[in-house]
Amino acid sequence: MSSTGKGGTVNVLRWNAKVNKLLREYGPEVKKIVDYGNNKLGGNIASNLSGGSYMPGRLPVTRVTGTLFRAYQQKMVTPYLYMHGMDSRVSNYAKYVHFGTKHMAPRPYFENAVQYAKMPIMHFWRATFLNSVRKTGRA
Amino acid sequence: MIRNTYIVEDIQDCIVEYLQALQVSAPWNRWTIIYGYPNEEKFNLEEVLIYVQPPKFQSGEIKNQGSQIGLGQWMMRLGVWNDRLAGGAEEIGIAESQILYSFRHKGRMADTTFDVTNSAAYTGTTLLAQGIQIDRIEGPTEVLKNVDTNEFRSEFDIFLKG
Repeated sequence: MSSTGKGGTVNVLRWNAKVNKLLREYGPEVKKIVDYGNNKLGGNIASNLSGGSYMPGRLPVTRVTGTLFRAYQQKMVTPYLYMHGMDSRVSNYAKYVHFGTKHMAPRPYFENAVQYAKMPIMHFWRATFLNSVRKTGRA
Repeated sequence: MIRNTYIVEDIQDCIVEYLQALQVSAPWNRWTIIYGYPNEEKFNLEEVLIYVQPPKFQSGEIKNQGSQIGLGQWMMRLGVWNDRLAGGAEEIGIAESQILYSFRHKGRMADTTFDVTNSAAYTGTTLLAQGIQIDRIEGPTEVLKNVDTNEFRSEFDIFLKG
């Protein structure tokens, strides 16, 4: 295959081969990264919800009866998309703990988890994804 | 310059002092600006409450095809809170727009001078002179909307160049 431009003919045969090879490599690698991110985030949220001593306005949130912890749900929407959330039928006060009210300071267990998951995910992304690009080599 | 020492409270000080310097005229003189999250004793819904939470240093986003990994930035949360008797939705709208204006308009940040005391006393200084550069402001986000119809609360995220 070639495309004709104003300046002459450009051969894109090797480019196409490279792109096809990359697409074959990406699928499993992206899945690996998404799974890693999901596990990392889930672990962070779980540890933020299972604190020991009572510390108002600080993380982790104290786990007394475990209702807030049980409300935490994660769900696979597609193999590449996970949802994390709190079930309001289990604990209707989850949002008040996260955002704070007049009577208590916020304890943002989700936001904090996302913040601390960002960096490891970036490093994992760099290690796996960029290596997979390198592995394809020259077409 | 305050930013060089990376003392978290100093950055918070500068932002609070900057906002308090705007309180020489309306509408800012109608509002209260406090440090940190309002606890129960400080809570006063008779006027708009603006609370400035301490900044956090956090990792930014990858730019330029993975070259600048771990790009850092400061993130600050700034909230506005009032109730129906203190002007309600209209008053909080004015406060939100004023905050946006104060952190988006470079001229206002350059012209507003304030005094701040940390390890040294600075008089007539500006945000830029203290090395605090606002990268962007995101918001307002309505927090816990529809929980109490008499209360209005929204938050902004301010990102400072690290």
